[in-house]
Amino acid sequence: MIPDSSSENYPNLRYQHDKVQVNEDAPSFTMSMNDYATYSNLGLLQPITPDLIQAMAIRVLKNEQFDLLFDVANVDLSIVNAIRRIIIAEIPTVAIETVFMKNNTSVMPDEVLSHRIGLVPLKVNPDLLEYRNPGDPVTPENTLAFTMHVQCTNKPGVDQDLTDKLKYNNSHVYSRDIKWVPQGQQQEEKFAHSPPVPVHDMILLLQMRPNQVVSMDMHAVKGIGKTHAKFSPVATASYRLLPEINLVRPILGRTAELLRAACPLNVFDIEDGPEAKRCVVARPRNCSMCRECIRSGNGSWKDQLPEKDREEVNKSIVLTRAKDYVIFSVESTGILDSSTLVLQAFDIFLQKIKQLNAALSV
Amino acid sequence: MYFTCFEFYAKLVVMNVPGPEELLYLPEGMDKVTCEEDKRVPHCSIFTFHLEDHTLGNLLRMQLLRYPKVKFAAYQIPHPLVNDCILRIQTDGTVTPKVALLQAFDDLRSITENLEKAFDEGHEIFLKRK
Repeated sequence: MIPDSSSENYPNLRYQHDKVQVNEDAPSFTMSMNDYATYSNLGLLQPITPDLIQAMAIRVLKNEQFDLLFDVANVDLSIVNAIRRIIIAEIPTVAIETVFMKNNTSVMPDEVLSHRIGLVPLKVNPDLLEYRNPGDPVTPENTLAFTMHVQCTNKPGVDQDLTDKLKYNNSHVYSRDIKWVPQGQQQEEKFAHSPPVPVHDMILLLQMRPNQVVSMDMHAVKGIGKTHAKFSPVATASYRLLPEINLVRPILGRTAELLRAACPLNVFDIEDGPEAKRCVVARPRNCSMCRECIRSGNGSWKDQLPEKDREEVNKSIVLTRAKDYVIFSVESTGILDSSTLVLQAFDIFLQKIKQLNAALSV
Repeated sequence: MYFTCFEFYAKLVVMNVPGPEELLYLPEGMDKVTCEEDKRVPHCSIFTFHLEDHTLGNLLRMQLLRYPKVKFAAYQIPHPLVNDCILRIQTDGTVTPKVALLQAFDDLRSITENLEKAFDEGHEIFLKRK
């Protein structure tokens, strides 16, 4: 399957379809197809069949509340990418949209402070709030009100050589100072079991000196990441192709030791072989494709090898990435659980397809 | 009125930036999808999806390219400030581009439904293993 990189034969079409080959200078076979004929003679490109659907598989590797890692096998990358884009840009959350600055004598300009406050993630279930369309009145159904009033003062009788935090009250303003103001009894009851608060208490918003004050009211609305990144429910949602490190010929003895030491991500191990110690790929998932192992040139690990061995090593290591196997990671900002985000993305995806299908069928 | 500062809303300055609502709401009377026949080439149609982006464009393109009857499929976002996605489909004449597109929607739906199922299964297996 893996072609010898020294061979004169151009790698076969099947190989180009399945893998991205990572070379020292640049990757090859990165293109997807441009039309049906590209890979059709391999029988690889069929309109969707039950077999293809059966082959799709997801394996969850890590399932913490706000950190999800899973493998997706045998699914077209365009679909995986659509899910990723939907998670980032189309899942609704609640964030502060308007700031009414009543007083700000700190050194931070109003607009900078307002922007920072907008980016604070709020622990609010978005289902409990309606969208506020342009021109709509501000009501308790579509808007949450917050307030913040902080004044910095001197602590009396404190040694002036101490740090700001010890010398002054409220020298640091944190996200915990943002307080929810329930608008009406109905809203208070609706949010009673989980009152709206910032997800993290200790996000530093600004620093002040004695006698400076910030005072403001804020309105939070529901929105999606497409319109502003503050509405995005994830810190990152990303996927990468599965890295594969192929040792085409065994790497033995001192060369093996050097290769193991050269990898900054500790991908290789040494195993005792029948003749000599042998290099094995122990942790391929660690690989970030930094290409240190295939780098030749000044300062590379191959410098320590005799000239004739370098040639040998160059032919022995082939780095590839699998095009049909991705490692997907969803890191939530803490508003919604990561697994909820993925399920919501599927729902939004299906809803989108259904809506367009209906619009087109008319 | 409960809200403080409510009266300031009318005074907010609007600059010549496209508002966020332009990304969210279709103008009244506008169709979500428009279809136009390309007269220069046989069996070719140009579909314009309003308020859609690369998420949909690439998805449909890759799905359409799987069909032997589709000779050409490509998409375009005309301008970063225009929230449209233009998809051009040419078929070999045995089906119309619209039929091919509907087929793509059908297939994408079944793929995603199964992917969702696969995710649930994967999730369950993970919880059991724990």
